[in-house]
Amino acid sequence: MGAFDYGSLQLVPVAFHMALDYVVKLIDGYGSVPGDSIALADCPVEPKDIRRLRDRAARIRNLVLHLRERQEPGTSVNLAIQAEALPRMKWSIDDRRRGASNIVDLTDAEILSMLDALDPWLHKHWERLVAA
Amino acid sequence: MHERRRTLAQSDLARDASQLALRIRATSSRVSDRLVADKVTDLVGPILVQGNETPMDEALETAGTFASRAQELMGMTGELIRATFRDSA
Repeated sequence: MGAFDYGSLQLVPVAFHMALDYVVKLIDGYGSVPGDSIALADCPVEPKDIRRLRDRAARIRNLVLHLRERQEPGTSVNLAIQAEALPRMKWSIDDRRRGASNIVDLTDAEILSMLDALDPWLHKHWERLVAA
Repeated sequence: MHERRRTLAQSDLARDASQLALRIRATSSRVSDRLVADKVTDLVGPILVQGNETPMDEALETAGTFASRAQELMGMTGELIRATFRDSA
């Protein structure tokens, strides 16, 4: 499909949500696994900000993948690509509730900024927990 | 059907990407949704297969498995975005 692969790009919030969900599981714990206090201690992003972004990505994921049980008329998923020297992307949904518009969006800048912040930290703890 | 959907959501879509693609096709005929469905098995499937190399039993999960999956998925997210930058250059 030319320069932009729509299907792949719509899955960006899906992969991003899953990534952040595992980061949250690492620092908060999940099921019988306790939170990793060493990873939490030097996490470069406020955990509450990670959780908020994860929850926002989850709402987009739910519409992209049709996981919602019911969708009201007017519910929509949009991907806007602004052609600049480096294209800017924004995923938006209108997650309508009781007839009211409920816009949630996410930009590539937000995603890349979070990835850049978390990547070295996560790699360090992956080496400690897995590779060592 | 309700139970099926809940299972997919709870497992982070993990264990059945092809079923997920079938369901998207079944619930929508929009071209945009079909494009997403076409990619679900290609893009979500492999990362989930990797996830399945670690124990699926939640009781056997560890902080290390969370770190591994987070790292794989962060890499996948970045790769999807950066591929667009490369393709459009």
